[in-house]
Amino acid sequence: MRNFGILVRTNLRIFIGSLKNKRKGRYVATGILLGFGLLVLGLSLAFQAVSQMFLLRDAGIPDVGIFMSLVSALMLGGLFGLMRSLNAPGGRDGELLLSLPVRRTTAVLSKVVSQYIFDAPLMFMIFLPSVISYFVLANPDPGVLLRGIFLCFLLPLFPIALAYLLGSAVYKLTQKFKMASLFSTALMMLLIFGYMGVNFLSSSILAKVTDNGPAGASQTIERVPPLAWLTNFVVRGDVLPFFLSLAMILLPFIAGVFLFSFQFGRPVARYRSGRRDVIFKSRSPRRALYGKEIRRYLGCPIYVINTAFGPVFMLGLSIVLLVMGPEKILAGVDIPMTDLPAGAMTGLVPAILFAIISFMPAVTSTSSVAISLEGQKLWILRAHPVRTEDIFTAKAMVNMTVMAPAFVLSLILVGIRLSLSPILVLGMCFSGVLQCALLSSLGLVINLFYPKLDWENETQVVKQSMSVIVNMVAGLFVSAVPFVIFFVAMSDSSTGILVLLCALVYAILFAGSSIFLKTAGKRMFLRL
Amino acid sequence: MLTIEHLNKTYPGGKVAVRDLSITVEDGDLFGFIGHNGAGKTTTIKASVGILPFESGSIHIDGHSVAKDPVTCKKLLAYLPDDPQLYDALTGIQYINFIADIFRVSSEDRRQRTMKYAEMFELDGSLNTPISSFSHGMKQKLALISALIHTPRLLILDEPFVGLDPKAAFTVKTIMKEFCAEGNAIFFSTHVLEVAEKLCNKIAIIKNGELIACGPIDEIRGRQSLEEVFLELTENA
Ligand SMILES: Nc1ncnc2c1ncn2[C@@H]1O[C@H](COP(=O)(O)OP(=O)(O)O)[C@@H](O)[C@H]1O
Ligand SMILES: [Mg+2]
Repeated sequence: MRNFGILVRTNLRIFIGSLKNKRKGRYVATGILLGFGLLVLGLSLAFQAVSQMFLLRDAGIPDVGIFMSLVSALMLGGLFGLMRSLNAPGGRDGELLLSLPVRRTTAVLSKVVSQYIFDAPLMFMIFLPSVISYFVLANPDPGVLLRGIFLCFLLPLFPIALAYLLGSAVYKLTQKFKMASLFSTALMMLLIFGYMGVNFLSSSILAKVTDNGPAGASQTIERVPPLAWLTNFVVRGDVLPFFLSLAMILLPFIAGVFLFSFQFGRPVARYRSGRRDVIFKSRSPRRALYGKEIRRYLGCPIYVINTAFGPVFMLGLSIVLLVMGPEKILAGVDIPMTDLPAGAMTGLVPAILFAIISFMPAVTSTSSVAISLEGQKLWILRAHPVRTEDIFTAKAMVNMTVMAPAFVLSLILVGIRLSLSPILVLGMCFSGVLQCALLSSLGLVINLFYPKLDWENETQVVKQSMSVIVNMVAGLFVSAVPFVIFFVAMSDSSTGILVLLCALVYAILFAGSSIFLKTAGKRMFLRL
Repeated sequence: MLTIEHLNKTYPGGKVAVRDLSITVEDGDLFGFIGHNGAGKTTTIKASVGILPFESGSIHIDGHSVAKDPVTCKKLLAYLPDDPQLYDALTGIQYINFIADIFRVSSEDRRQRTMKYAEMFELDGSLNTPISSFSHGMKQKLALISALIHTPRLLILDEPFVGLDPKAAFTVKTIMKEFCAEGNAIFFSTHVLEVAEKLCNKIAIIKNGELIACGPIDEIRGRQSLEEVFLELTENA
């Protein structure tokens, strides 16, 4: 029991230490920032829950409030679990812990409990306000409060279970296949899109709920059985839903912990090749650098997931457009065709679509962490006779490879569907490629200003490093260019001019960031 | 081959790691760089291979300044760090090919050299395996193979024997002697005195960032063992 306490405390300390910057004084600042962030998040979630409960009570369907916050808790927990499952099971300290005089169960349980302590606050912040406001505003039965709080404590088990179950599946794959990381990337992408689908569905279900009143509400809730059990358990306290809810959360959790403890501290037996024929193929240094960057990119699932969304969305949107036509899409966002001025199909609509598509790849760029991801391996690039410009180019080309083809393809699809003139489509593609080039080099500039080389796992870089956030903000500005030009300069001139102006702005910014990379950027890289 | 003159390096935060250090490694030298843990060996080596900027002094490789003309210098040398972190996502052979591509080594040359060294290190069966499943020693061997693949004229090795099994250590020593016999130079750090004593023709001893002895090993040692000399020098200096 004493060991257990020590281990949990150490785990928490490691977590806090990982936030700490090397420079002194950042420790307190980070703590304050984190605490403040949590407070703001908690308050805004609570405010949202309470105001929603007011609305739903007045509509006579307060149960839906519980249902909805369950949906968002599980959704967010699910995403957490998914992301975490991509890390190695048990972390790197498994072997170390097992070499100490600590029982295996103790070590495993300490990991699980620490994880619980990380996950619980968010789950509480999402679900507890709904329970309390439901109790106060709709159903002053103390049982509701008790059951709700009980469920609050159960909910954090869900992301843990998911992370362990998926994590061991991914782990099994990495042992068997060389390209396992690609499999797991694809799997995660599918799951995340599945989640977004569920999210979309549940919001459309809720739209119907408010139309159909109390009867429709319970009908809709019953349509999603697992969530209905949980909701009914809190709201009515029936026995059957209680056991069903328990089983639904506890069984996967127990299975997950079991699998986790089985793998904990075991050496990660990675894929080994028995092939003895060795291929020697010579390429130019630049191709070699690019090849290395691409392999690096594909070898890191979380990196791919984070950056492939833009292109996938772009293509998705343009395919939907191709199949359904612009009329239905515009109707979907409540703009009936009849409201549009004549000639909109060749002027306004393509301009808007161009602006929307340009927005997609802007906020995530592979370059914004490309330098950070070198981490402890940065010495390889620096100790060998490669020009810094070539390194930058190779890194930027990865982003081009990921973004530009999808960009061009989507624009061509849009062009086909709206039967735009080939010259206009060509101009759009040109401007699109320039935008990609700008974002690729801008990402590197940002990464040079906010490098993070001493990381433990890639998630820390790809998800939590400063350069990603700054890049997102910068991307928003870049993607605002067409909108600004559209509203300021050309509400009534042609799309061609819009595209041309965008291309011009992108070209100027791209030249600026390239010059920066060639001069100051180079020096910054050598000083890292 | 390698000339370090009045090198000074202070880390951010004020730690003076190297102070006014001068060393000359000539063609054919097998030069040992000896010092206690934290003496400044790694710092000196990193500055010499051009991956660590320094405040003052100069480092030249075959007459080219590391600070002013790093790419030319790096073309002449190969560096093996104390903790060879290699790209985990690549297989052994992909890494070797990557380095060989950087140095524009022809396919035939790289095949020949890889086969020779991989066999010597018994690594030939693992070349198609991802580096992520390599042990420390295997990574070191792989890093050494890719250092030798482009026939550098100067090898700079940081603690090359740490983590190698006896057989591999012997192979490395053989390779080192061969390399220098061909007129190339090696500059390597170690804290194992026996190795330095048997292998080197010249040594330098560093303590707390300052050079306390430098020259042909026979001159420094006199009639004592290197261990006695080392202890005497480091106690008194
Ligand atoms: N990145 C760094 N920041 C601050 N001090 C460092 C850094 N790297 C090394 N040092 C300090 O410089 C001194 C020399 O280190 P190093 O050259 O690694 O020694 P050696 O390789 O001889 O064991 C040590 O006191 C070490 O603490
Ligand atoms: Mg060292």
